[in-house]
Amino acid sequence: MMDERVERPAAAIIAVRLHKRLEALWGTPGGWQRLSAVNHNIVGRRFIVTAFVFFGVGGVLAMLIRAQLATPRSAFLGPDIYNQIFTMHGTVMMFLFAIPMFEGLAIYLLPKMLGARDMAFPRLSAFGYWCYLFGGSMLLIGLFVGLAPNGGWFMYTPLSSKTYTPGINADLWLIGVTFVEISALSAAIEIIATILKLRAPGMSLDKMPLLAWYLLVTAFMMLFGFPPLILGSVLLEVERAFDLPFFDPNRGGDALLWQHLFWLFGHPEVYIIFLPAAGMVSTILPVLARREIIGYTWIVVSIVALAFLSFGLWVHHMFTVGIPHLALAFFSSASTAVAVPTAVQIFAWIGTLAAGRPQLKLPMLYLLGFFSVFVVGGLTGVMLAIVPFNWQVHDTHFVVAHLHYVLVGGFVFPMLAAAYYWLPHFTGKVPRHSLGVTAFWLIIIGFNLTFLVMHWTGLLGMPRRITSYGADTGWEWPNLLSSVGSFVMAIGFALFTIDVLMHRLHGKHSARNPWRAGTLEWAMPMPPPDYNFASLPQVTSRSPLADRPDLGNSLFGGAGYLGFVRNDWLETLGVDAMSGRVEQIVRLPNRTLLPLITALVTGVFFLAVLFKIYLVALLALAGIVVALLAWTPVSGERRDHGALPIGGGASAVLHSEAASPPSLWAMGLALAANATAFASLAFGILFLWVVAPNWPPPELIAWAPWSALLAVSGFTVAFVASRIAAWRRVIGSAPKRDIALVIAALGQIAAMLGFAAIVQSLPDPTQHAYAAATMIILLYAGLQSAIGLVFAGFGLWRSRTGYVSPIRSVDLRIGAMWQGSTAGIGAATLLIVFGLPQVMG
Amino acid sequence: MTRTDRRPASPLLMVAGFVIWASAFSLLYAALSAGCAFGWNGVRVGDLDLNRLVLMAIWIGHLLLLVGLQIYCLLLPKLADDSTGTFTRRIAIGSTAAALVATIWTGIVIPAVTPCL
Repeated sequence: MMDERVERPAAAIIAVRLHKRLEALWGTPGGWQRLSAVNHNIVGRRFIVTAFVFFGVGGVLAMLIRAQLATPRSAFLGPDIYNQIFTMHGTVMMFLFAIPMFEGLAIYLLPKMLGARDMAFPRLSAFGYWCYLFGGSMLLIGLFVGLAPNGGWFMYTPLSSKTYTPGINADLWLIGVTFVEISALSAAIEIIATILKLRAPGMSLDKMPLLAWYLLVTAFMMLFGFPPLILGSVLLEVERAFDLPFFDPNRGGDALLWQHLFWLFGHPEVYIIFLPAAGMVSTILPVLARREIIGYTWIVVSIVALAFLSFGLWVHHMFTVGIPHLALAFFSSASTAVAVPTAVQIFAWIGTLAAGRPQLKLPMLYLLGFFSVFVVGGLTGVMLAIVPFNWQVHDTHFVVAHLHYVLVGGFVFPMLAAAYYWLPHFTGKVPRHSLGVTAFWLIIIGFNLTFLVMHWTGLLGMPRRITSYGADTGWEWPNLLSSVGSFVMAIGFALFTIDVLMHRLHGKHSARNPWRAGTLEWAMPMPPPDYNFASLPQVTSRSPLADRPDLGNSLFGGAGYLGFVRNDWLETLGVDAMSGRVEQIVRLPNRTLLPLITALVTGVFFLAVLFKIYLVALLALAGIVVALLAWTPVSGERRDHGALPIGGGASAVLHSEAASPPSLWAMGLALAANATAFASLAFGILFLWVVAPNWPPPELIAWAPWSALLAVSGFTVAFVASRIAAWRRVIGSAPKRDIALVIAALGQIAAMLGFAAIVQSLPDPTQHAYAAATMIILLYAGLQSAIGLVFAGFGLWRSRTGYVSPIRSVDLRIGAMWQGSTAGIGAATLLIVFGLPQVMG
Repeated sequence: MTRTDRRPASPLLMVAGFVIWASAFSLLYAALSAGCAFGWNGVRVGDLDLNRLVLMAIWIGHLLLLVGLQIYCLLLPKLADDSTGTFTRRIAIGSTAAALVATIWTGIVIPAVTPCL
């Protein structure tokens, strides 16, 4: 007994000392230094709060729309303002609320659920946040000064082309949304790398929390879904700025090309929004049903199926544009098929409820709201997938009602459930009153009054996006009811907001793990410390906390891995993606202003493009490269460390010495996104050749064998030389690897000259979409070589400053990956430029 | 060599079936568009027009690939002491089966619908 009493205080003192050391290292001071925060707790919260503010803005815009439509012949808003308001409502809700809200939750929750101390690339998280904030602010400022986008949230051409939208409004959308999409792409890369590499030891793929599976698949969808839209936005902005006719049918363009590129992103986007919310449901529901979820394996299969099938639906937004019936049948079949994996998940949830002992706690109430609303939205979705019905209700309020049932049901209700479920985790408090229950009933009643009735309005034939309607249309009462309902719903959301704010000020302190959940995010103090875990757990099941309810205390006492501070390094563990076996110690960067500075320079670039000050844009582009290079000195080691102890008698190498560090995965993922953008451009060119009017073009490119040879030789030499530099027989010799890297740089210079010479031989790109598209793909290939030149120079600098050794080869391997991709894209470009006219012409 | 000596399922098998579905879907749409643009439906090959023949070939080719993949996944070893391998195998079998059904469903109208109407 005596010994125990002595041991307990000693253990507590050790734990507190460890906590203080970790907090000093991982924490972010207040005041201006807060701007340098890169910690996922802070960045995740910032995303969530900012997204919620944008949700409020979108909600106010919705109220204005409903006020306008409440009565016939309303003079409340004029058509110009109304167009801006409905465009911004959609844009804000899709780009500035839904995606960033999920990103924020992912950034906040993932490391905790996976048993890590932070995301794989904390500075990238912070950079993504600033890009989101600045891009979103640009759009909002446009709204406040009356210059907001006004062509609908999907910006169809030719309405959004210069002829019909001559002002800055459409440019603001194209540039602002592209700015925000940087954050989405960076989040996608970071989420995938984190899930695959930064899990707790022992957490193999089959032991991952279901939410991690959902987020993993969603991030992959973003990686392949966003590039087509980014490419489309660039093409439309280039058309508007330089009169290159990609979408102008009079000059060989096609307005439908925009619709294809937009919906290639736009329909997967619906599932990109739904899947993380479904992940929340799959996390919360079993806890409140007090049993493990039924059908873990089948849910994973259905997530994979959903992800793929959702990329085969995009044309169901274009059923009325005049596509062959057989093509309509392909897309109709995919649109109906996607309901099956969705239903698998719904049955798994219902089965879990039926087999468990569900508790009607507040999050569960919102989950029931999700079920009722989302299932209706899913069923009307199947109706819309059927071509004849789709033709009847196309562009009516029926579609508006359907999409709100899907998005509010499939995202907002689960997010409200998630808010109440994880509030104790965020703040350590629970709401004192039951305002959340009243809020729920107001939201669900108001929502159904608004949108259930709106199906009827649509079936009566009311089109979308009209400013007003006549008094004898039969649409008066349903519109009034929808407007009343929307205000009831708004009161519900206001009450939810008040409840959350009040709980922050006056809530009761929550017990640790108040829902008795089994996942790791509850194995830490609440609110969580900046380092999450004082030591990292060994995982042996899907519910580690259910197996060991005392796990949190044990980890806090330093009993797990890395329960110490070494050299003031921020350390977490990296594992084998499949088995969860410990592979490496990932050393993370500490707080810095660099992400903010880089985002500011990026903002200058986008503003310069918006105001067509292209010299400044070029300077800003160079500034972005310099700023990004300034990130690199702290992300490597200048000497070999070998295996280092990680606790429990185990050891691991640093990530810079590992075979498969997260940065290598990140480069692979970035290249996948890059290849998708290139493939979208290639698809666009093929589409124009096959479908667009006024083809073949009046003049084709002249065959330029010497220029082509120069480009091919250049990118091939660069690729081979970069591989040689990283080759194990060369990398140990500094002079040899430096020479190889210099050759790689020279190769890319040659390739750029080759591509530039080919561009010179093009016909006037403003005369026909053929020359415009050919010029763009050549510039795309040239840009790859320019970045390849930067990578070669970067490798040379790292090599000469001691960051490279035979076992620290990651910088050179990353460079070689880029050079390989550049060679592939360069070769494909030349085949398209010189080969396609031979085949099609 | 006994069955348990064999290597466990590659994680890529979890998505391989749907990669084949995506290939079938993309090629069917591309071939249909090209066929309609170049008038393949006016070229007769036996009882079929060239456009439908190409589409059928793409569809059936992918179905055969999927059947082959399904058989391969079913023959993967069940490793009693490897829960991750067992899990991966199950996902591979399930997702390949789902992709096979999706591919059948996608192309089932090819014999029935006029391609370029």
